[in-house]
Amino acid sequence: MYDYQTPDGYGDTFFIYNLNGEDIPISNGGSYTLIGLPVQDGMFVCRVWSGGILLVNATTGTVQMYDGVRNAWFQLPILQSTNFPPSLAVLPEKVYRDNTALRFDLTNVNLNVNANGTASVYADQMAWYGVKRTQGNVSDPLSSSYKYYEKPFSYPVPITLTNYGPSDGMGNPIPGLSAPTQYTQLIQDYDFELRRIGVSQIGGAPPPPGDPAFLEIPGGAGGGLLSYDSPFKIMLYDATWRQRMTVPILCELLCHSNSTTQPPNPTPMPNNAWPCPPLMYQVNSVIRFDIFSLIPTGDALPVNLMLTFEGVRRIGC
Amino acid sequence: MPMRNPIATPAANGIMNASPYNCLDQSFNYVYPISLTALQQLNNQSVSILTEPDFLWRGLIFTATGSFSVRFQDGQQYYLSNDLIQSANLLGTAGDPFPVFPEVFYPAGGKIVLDIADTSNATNTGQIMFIGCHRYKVSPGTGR
Repeated sequence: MYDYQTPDGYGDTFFIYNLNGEDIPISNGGSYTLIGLPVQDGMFVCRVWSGGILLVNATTGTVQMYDGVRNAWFQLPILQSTNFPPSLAVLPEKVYRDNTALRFDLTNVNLNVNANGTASVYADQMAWYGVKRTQGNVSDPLSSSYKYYEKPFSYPVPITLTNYGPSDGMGNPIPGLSAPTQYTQLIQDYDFELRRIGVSQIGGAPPPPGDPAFLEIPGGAGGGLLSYDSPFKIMLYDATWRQRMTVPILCELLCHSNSTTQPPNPTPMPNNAWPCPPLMYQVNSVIRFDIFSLIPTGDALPVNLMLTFEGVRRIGC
Repeated sequence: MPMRNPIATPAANGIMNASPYNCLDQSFNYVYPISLTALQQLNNQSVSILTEPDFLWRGLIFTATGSFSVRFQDGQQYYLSNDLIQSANLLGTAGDPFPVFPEVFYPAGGKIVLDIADTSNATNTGQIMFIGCHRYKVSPGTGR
């Protein structure tokens, strides 16, 4: 296999185009044609697609995807289920030119929610992973001007969810985001290449073997263990504080779950190793990210989680 | 020096265009809708390939309400197994599909032919998705 080569004169940087169903807007029970998300500020090279099951009925809902000139990805609209098809590799990769759109059809929409019996919060999203390709820019991760070797290193960052996700007074889900909490993690001593973001619960009993949940957190009206695949949304920024996704992305679509046996089965996204290609944070820069709670009203707060920013240090030699 | 994420899949890192000379490969997936009654067997079911591009079958995923067994044929209608294979032995997810390697070639205008039988003893619906790519011929000198 040949090493991947970005075309001369262009730079590639990890990027996710993602959208929330309620923001389009679409509503439960409906079917929609050629709804889309504009590709802006450079070409987008799409390599993985995920999240369809979070927008349509898991039994009867279908999705059809289109490329930049509206050629279908599939011969027929495809069903969605637990293994069919979250995180579908797009191979060969598809290039969406600037000012085109990621278009798709949906039938039997059923927007996913985090619910506890008291309130519900939207937790639906579709995501296209790849790189943003822009002319005249350098690729990320940057190459270093010095010789180095790589050494595994992680930055664990505890996060606390102290507020509830958006729902109305009746407990119905509403579009929008909860008030964010911004976190920054200083990169110390060496340049750092981020390759994966692990997420796990702090404390509490481990989930039972074979549990299908991506991530479990304590909570719920009864105080028991409720599973939310995505207890929060996250907006990740690169070292220059440019956001690497269109809107804050669901935890399950970006993070790698350390709470369950690996790979969890079934799971919304078994092998989340994002960002890919990695993001490089130079020494004394910060990993900035914003966290938006998706905990439904009525659950016990605060919820303590741990994000582990995994990657390698570049150690000069 | 290429900057890869070694813990991510090759597809996520990007794979160079491997189209043969004067060809253009485009990701595409054919779908066979499963619709079986209890213990029904259907032979010589087919999925037609478009008339312009060839199709290269590289991976398989399916979803179904029950178990089934299936046998596929290649583009020249040779069987790819000596008997029907239980769906449990073809398991995969979209992130980790059942690999078809080396790829199976279907010519433009050809068919993916399959025999399929329900083994769940109940009505069985779903889809089989043939993951692969279309291979278009392009005129010499026009580039890819």
